[in-house]
Amino acid sequence: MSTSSMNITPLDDTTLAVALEGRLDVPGVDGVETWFTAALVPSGKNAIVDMSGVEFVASLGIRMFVSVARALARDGRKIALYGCNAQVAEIMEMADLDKLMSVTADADAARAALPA
Amino acid sequence: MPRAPRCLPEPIALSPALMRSSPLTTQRSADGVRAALTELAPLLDAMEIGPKARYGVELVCEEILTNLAKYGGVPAETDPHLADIVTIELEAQGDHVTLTIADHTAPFSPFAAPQPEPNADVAQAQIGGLGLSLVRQTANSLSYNSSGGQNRLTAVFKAG
Repeated sequence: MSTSSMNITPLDDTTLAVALEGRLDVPGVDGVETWFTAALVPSGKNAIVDMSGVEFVASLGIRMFVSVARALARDGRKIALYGCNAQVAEIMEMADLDKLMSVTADADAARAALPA
Repeated sequence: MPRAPRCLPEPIALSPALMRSSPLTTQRSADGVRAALTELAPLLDAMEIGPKARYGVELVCEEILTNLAKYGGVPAETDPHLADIVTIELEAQGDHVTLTIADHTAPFSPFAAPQPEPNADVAQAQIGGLGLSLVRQTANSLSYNSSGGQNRLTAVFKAG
């Protein structure tokens, strides 16, 4: 059974707003990765991701973000994460994820990190 | 018809400062990873350890069990049924929590895996290969030994 869920809404003409919830562990990534990738990569838009509802991220979850960020970068698009709890933020830092994409405190900072 | 009680390894309080779980066994497979994470949750609740240590225990379990399921080789002399079982034990004592994971696959030290190259460019970023690096960084101390056909990984976390 999946331990995660996802909600996605268009923020404007260039940006999607995604809210992830739950755990990005083995069952959680199994549950959202296909939808997450399919919603973001072909969209032609940047994305900001609200992580405030995510309790846990393991390496599979980090792999999911890197994989989507790579795909977006092919045509100059970006993904920015915000609202990580303290433990998730520490794991992101250990994985150097903050060197590949913006990991910010709030939605405004995440949005500001995207291409205009 | 009354339902048979489910046998979960309840933690045993040996003293006010020491709690130890009975060994939890799971299959060396993706389903086994899911089952272990599900069964660990009430044990961690009962031990009342802090969020950072709890995260560490869950992360090390997930990464090691996933690696064993994906990459664990079975030596020719090992009983294949034994090689499909992974045993997990948890002990909380004083200000630290100790997680031990034992298996019978081919020896593989978590210290042998190379550290992933630092990523500077997202277009060239390595996808995957992070699990053991996170294990090494998350645990406050980590030890591994392989003896008599059994591998034992022990990770210690500050409980607070």
